Amino acid sequence: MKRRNKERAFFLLFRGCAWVVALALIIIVGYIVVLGIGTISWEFLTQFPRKGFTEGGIFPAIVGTLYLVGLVMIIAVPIGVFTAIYVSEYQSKNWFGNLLRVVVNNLAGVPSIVYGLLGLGMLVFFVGWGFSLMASAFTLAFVVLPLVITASREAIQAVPSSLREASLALGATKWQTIRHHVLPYSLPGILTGVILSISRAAGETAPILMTGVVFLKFTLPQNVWDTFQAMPYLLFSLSTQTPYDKTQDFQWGTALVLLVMVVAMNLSAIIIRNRYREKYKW
Amino acid sequence: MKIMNGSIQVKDLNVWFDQNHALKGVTFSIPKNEITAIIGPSGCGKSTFIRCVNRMNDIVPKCRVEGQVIVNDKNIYDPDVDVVEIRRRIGMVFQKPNPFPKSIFENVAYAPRIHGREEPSAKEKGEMVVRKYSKKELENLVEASIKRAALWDEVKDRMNKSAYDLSGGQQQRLCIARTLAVNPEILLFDEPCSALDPIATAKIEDLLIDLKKDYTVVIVTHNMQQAARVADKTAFFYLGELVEFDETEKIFERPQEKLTEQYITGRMG
Repeated sequence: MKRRNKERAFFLLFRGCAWVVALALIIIVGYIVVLGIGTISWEFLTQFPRKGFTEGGIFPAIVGTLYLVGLVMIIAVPIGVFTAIYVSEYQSKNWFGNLLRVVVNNLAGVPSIVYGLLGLGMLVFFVGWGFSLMASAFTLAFVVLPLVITASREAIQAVPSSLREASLALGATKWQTIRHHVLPYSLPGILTGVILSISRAAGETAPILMTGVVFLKFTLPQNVWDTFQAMPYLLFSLSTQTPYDKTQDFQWGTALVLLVMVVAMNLSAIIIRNRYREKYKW
Repeated sequence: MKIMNGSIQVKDLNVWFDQNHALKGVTFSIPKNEITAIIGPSGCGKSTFIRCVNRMNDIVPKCRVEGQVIVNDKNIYDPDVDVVEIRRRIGMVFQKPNPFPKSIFENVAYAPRIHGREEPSAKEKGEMVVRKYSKKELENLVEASIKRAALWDEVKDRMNKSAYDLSGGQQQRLCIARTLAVNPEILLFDEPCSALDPIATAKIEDLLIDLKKDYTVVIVTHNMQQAARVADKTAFFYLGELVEFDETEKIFERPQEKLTEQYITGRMG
């Protein structure tokens, strides 16, 4: 009977842990939704803030985050995907390929505030871009690059080598093989990585904090050399620099918008992935 | 061993994988429009050999090839040779059926589409020009290729269905059709039936015999009965060396070498 009791105990332990995770998630999301939902209105999403963040909305922060994320993707996706192709299709075995693998794996572990300092020192001052959307986007691109590269590399390597051989044996060139087979078949995995990195970029605060984001600004960014507002930084500033009892509606509202945005992106990643998985099965 | 005139002449072919000497001084000549079987125990270099003939070993890291493989009076390992062109002219069918995860039609249409159609130039005599296939031409070519691979009746109603809905034997014949669509001169088969049941195997074997009218066929097999059934000539490889190469009948009934006899009679391998 002792063995059966042990069996039961471990089963309960595992189930307990799973429940703790589920409950924590439900509580966090529930809290934000309950406190934030009252603030959400058309006005909140489309207007500039007025009267010290007690009226109006967070339109410039939403737009700023969208601009930022868009720019990060334009920079990081081609570089990341092409690097992944190079590492897995062209230089898998030599010293440069190995070096790249080590570098990428370790870059993923560097704290984002370190990237922020790098962006400040290198892009803002040394290169001379100043505090700008461009400097922030490049800094964030460095943060998400390992994510894009790792996801793409794994997706590319999951394509069976027998399919590459089939294509090459038909007289296709290496590039044709990559273009017509490897990339389409690995697209779901690559897209998953891209969308996860979008949600990461949308939520990061530290790298943009030091390179271009501002709290108070009454215009949208005019071009990529302009400063901008962003939701995570707005939230940070509101909670540290304004009285909670005055701006709490704005804080919870901003948190909810950010949360919904990130969840929506992750959901779309899952949907896209499943759709392509249906299309290409082997 | 004397070198006959043939479709593929192999001269002193050596292959190394890193430090491992996988093929040692292989010299023989594969005749045109016949089926040549390569037999031998696992690890004897038969797959390595066949992958040298269309330079598929090029994609294996640390693989080094020395010697000559002469096809149409041209050594395919000469530096000025276009590997892509070699692989188009020398088709290969693999051990495990490997159709693309696309429709049946797209599987066969892929290679013609990327290579285009070669035809005599209207302006200059003797020159060839490459142009795109029209939709109709492509459909005809796909149909002809699938018919040639004895698969048409089984798939004609579902050309737009995924190739993965087919059975293993059908997939393998689709892979053959896909290879035929680029109009190669030589067909290489690397143990094409090892993943198939006896009925599917019989169909492929019938197809091979039918194909030799138009193509030079080389087949690697670990199934000696298969070699005896389909091959005109048989080469026996052992530990990276070509031990004996002769008419299939002679190899199986009056082998000259002791090693061959031991392998054929099942005392080794």
